[in-house]
Amino acid sequence: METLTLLAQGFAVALTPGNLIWSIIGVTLGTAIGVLPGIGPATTVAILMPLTVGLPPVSAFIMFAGIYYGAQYGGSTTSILLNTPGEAGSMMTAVDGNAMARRGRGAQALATAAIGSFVAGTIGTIGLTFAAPLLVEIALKLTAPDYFALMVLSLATVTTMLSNPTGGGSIAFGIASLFFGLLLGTVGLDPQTGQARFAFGVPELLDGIDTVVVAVGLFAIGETLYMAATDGGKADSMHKLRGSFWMSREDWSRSWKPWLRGALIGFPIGAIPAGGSEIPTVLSYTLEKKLSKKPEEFGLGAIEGVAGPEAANNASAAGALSPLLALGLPTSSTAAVMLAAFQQYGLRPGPLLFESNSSLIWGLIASLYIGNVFLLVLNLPMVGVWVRLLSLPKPWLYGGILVLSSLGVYSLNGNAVDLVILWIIGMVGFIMRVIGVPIVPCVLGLILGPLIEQQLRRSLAISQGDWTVFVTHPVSAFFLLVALAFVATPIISSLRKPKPQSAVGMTR
Amino acid sequence: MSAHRLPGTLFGSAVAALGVAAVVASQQIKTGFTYDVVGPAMFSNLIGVGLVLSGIASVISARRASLEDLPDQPKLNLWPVGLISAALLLEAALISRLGWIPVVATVFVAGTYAFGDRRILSNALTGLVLATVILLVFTLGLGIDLPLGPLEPLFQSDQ
Repeated sequence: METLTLLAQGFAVALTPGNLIWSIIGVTLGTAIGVLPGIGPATTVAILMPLTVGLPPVSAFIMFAGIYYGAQYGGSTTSILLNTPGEAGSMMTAVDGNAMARRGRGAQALATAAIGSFVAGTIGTIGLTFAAPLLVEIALKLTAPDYFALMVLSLATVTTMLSNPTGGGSIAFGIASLFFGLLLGTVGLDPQTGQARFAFGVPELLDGIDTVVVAVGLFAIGETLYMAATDGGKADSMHKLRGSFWMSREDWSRSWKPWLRGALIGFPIGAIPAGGSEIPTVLSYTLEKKLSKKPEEFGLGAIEGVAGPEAANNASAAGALSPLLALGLPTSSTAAVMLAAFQQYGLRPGPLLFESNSSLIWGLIASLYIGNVFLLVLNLPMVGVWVRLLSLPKPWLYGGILVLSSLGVYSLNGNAVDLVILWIIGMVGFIMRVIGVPIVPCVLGLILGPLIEQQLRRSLAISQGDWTVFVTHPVSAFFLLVALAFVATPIISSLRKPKPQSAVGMTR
Repeated sequence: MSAHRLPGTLFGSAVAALGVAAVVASQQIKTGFTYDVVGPAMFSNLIGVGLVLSGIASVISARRASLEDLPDQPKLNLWPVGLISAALLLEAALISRLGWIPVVATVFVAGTYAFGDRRILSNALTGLVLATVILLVFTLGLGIDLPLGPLEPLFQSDQ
């Protein structure tokens, strides 16, 4: 029961009036930015990161936790009312959620999404509370080669999961995106020898390229340029909320089981490196359709099709925090940006942080419970406020996104070179978007690259340059084998069949 | 070659070229530290090789893909991209000299124009208000300094 004692201490930290206010500010801003079309949770966290600069770490991370959960809630509102999901995780919500909105049941779709997110978010946070200490136990037994292999495995799975097999370029595009991210990660001073790499004499590059700049550039700027080039000022059609705002008895009875099932699917899959919230939401949608007595309603506005995936989405967000906090291993792009936030404070998530800074870790976990309650309040009675944000005209919206992106990037270090890098990365993101190259592997490669290199060189230092160290350690050999299987299987099957079958994966 | 296959082929070639460049540039990195067995150039060389291989694989898969598997290329309208790019680069060039407010307002106007809103004057006003509010919240509320440009003396005399 040591966990509960620690959690109680966490609540003692999170429930101080100051930290409560930061949590409220976090969830509110997270929802407000997350609700904007075209901005997913990863971009939301990245753009809002500079806001916490002046705060002590505990308060900053309590605010981050709020932003992280708030952004997940905000995204569902956009998918339901506008049918423009900001990220892969809310694509399934958009299908039936938007169909419900078209039929005048938008309010019920928003309600089941909000309550489902609350239920699943809370279950996921309970899962996190108990899974994180277990993962820490495991993490303490891992050696440098094991860590190296684990990170390679997570990059391999995320890249293959996110690559669209029908997109022509498929796995090769995903791997290229990953290596581009790894390359960006090596820019700057090598932390072990102090040698400059790929800095080309630009002093601002010696510190490396910030994850925030890359995430904002690829997601926000790339998306803005793509929208400007494709459909410009065409207005989205928004479905007004009308009729009763309450869920009927039938709505409740059709929602509660999908919430629970979604949470049970979302948490474990979020915790393993499977590409974030996309797989669990698709699985939950398919499962609900299979279990439903009226499968023909799916696609036309079945409430289960909103309740399940939305619950899975939020539970997977909680799941992703377990390996992030316990192992320092991000499994989604949002988690990658969260890791960048820790690094900004000179903190390195992992077993040691649980030892050395347990009040921060447990304060953060406790604040997730609290943030969920605030979010339920923000999203049920106050949903009208967010709906109004959605009716911003598109030019203002994207003009505003450009301003917020400049703000987020410039205030990091206060130098203009970051703005030039932002533009370059934005152009790369635009081109990737046009060709259909997945972006998430690039962001994960950037943040994990330096960590992988460190473990690789540490392993080789221990083995005195003997590369067989990775296969003689059983754990590392196993991880590498699985990683190889993940990458090789789709390649081999695509070589056999000239025309690959379409699969669940979507390029985003 | 079909126009559908062109983007993937170009992308793959560019990635492979970047990989070659990375390997070449890695030769400049100093190595030979006794305490570091493999040295700082090893990982960047590995990445270079990875880029070359994945670039070649991209080209091959783009050429092998059947045409109906390839997504339809959306019609691209490039002038808005150019306009937003120009605004962002102008911002980078002038933000320290002119300060946060005018350059950010310019970015806002360029963004709205690129999305088809032609009311330059009223959008400029909106942009100025937006930039000023952000500046005030950040400098006064959060203690993060955004560049003031010519307004600097004004704020200093306040303190």
